[in-house]
Amino acid sequence: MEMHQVRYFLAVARTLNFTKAAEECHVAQPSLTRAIKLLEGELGGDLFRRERPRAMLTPLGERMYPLLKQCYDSAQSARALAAMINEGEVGVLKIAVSSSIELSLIVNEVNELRRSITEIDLKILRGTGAQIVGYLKSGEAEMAIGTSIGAAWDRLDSWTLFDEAFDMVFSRAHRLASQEAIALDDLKPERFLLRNHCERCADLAKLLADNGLNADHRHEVSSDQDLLALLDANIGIGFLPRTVTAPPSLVRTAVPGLKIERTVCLYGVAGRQRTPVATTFMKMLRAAKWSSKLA
Amino acid sequence: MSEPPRTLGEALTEAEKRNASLSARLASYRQSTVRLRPDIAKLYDELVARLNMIDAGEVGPKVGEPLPPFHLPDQNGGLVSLAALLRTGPAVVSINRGHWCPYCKLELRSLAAIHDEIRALGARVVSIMPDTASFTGGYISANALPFPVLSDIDLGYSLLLGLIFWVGPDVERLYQEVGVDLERYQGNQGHFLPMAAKFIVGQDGLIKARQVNIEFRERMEPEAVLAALRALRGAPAQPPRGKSDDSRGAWNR
Repeated sequence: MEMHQVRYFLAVARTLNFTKAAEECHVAQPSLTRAIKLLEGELGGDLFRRERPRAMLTPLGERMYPLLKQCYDSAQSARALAAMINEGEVGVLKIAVSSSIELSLIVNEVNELRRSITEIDLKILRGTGAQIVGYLKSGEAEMAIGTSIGAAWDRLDSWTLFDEAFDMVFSRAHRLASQEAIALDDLKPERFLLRNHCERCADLAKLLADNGLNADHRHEVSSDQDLLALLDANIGIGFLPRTVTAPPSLVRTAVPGLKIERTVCLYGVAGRQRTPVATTFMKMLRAAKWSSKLA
Repeated sequence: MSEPPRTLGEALTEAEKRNASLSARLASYRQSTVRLRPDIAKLYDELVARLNMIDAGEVGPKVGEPLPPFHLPDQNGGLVSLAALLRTGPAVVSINRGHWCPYCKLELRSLAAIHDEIRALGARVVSIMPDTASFTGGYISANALPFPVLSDIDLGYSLLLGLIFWVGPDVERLYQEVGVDLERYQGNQGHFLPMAAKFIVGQDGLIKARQVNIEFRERMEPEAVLAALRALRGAPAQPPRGKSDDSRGAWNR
C-alpha cells in the first residue's frame, strides 16, 4: 500500500466525510475515493459504509484504523526527522521516568540520538507513577517509562520493555548477612524499608503482610538514594529491582516465598501528535534487545 | 542422488548447500515447500496473486529517484542513517520480511557471500526488516552476516517506500500454526510485512538499480548487485553533494 492511500484513509476515518477529507488532503474527491477503493481491494473488504454525506467505519475499518495510524505515524516521523536534520533544527526530548527506574537504562539510546541528530535538548522528569501520568496528561512529557501505570488513564499506549524480579537487600553488617539461607521466619522481627516512589510499593506491602511479616511498622523513603543510604547504615531491609544498582557493601538475595516482579513499560499518549525526535526515540527503545542490555 | 528433504528445515539446508545461483537455490527450496507443505505454497500463490493484482504498476521508488532517508536502530541499538552509509560510497539497501523468512535467509546469506566484493567496490550493505533487535541480533550471528540489520519498527520506513502489505487472515492463521509469531518479532500487532526489495543507491542518494519482489520467493541475484556496483564505478563520477572526503578518491578511480 502507498503512503497517500493510508493518509486519505486516516483523513476520512477522522472526519467521517469524504468531501472534508479530500479538502483536508488537498486532493480532488474522485482521486481520494479511488485511492481508498484500491486500499479496500488490498485489505479485502470495505473500510467505510457510505451514507451520504457521512461515512461510517465498517468493523474492518475500525480494526485497521489504529494499525494503519501507527504505521503512518512511524513513516511520517521518519520523514519529518530527516527534514529536521536537513534544516539543522534543534530537537527536544521530553521524557518522564519513574523514580524507581535508573536513568542509565536509556542513556545509550539518548547518546545515539544525540550522535545522529546534531542537537537535542533533553528534559528528564522524575516522579511516582501518578506523577508521570500527570506529566503525560499535561504534555510536559511526550513519553514515559514506568511500571503498572497503564490502568491510570485510558489514553495511554504502552509497550513492554522488559520484566525483572526484585531482590531483598540489606547491609553486610546485618545479622542475616552471615546466614546461608534465609527463611520467611527469619524475617519476622525485621523492619522493612519501603520505596514509596515505586509503583509496586503497595503490592510489596501486601505481599509482606500476606506472609505474616511486619508491614505496618516500616520505614519509608521516596528515592533510591535515600534507600541506599539507610541500608548502608544497616537500617532496615529493602527490596530493589535487579536493574537498580546497589553498592557491594550490601547483600542482594532472593527469599523463597517472597517473589515480586515488575514489568517496565514505555508509555505514550494515544492519538496525540509526537515530535519526530520522540517517535524515533520510542522506536529505538522498542527495538532494543533488553535482555542483553540487562545482562 | 541423495534422498529428498523430509522437512522444510532440511529443504533449506539442502538449498543452501547447492552450488548454484540464488535463483536456483530459492527455486529449489520453493519446490520442496510445494511437495512438503502444499497448503503453504498455495496460500503464498494466492497472496502474491492478490498483491500483483493491486500493485499492477511499478511498486516503490524508481531508478533515478532518491531513496528516502532513514535513521534506524541496528541490532546493537546504534542509529544508522542512509546519509552516513553514503558518506563512504554507494549503499546496497535490502528490505527484508523478517528473520524467520527462509527466502530472506537464503538471500542475505548470498549477500554475505559477496560482501567482500561489495566492500572492494566501495559500497556498504544494510538489511532493513520489521523485527526488533531481540531477533535480529541472534540472526546475524547465526547466519554470520557481515552487515547490520536495522529494525523498522511499525514498518514506517517500508510504508514510506510504498512497500507494505496486509498479511491477511489466511496467511496469519498459517503463521500461527507454524509458529511464526509476527506480533512478538515486530513488537506490535504484527499484521503487516514489507515486500522484499533491493535498492542500489549511488553516493548522490539516487537509486541506480533496484528490484522489488512482490513475488517474495524470488530475489535480486547477487551478481546483479555486483554488476550495478561495477557499472557505478565505471560511470563518470557525479560530484557528490555535501562535503568531500578521502574515500572519494577511491570512488573516482
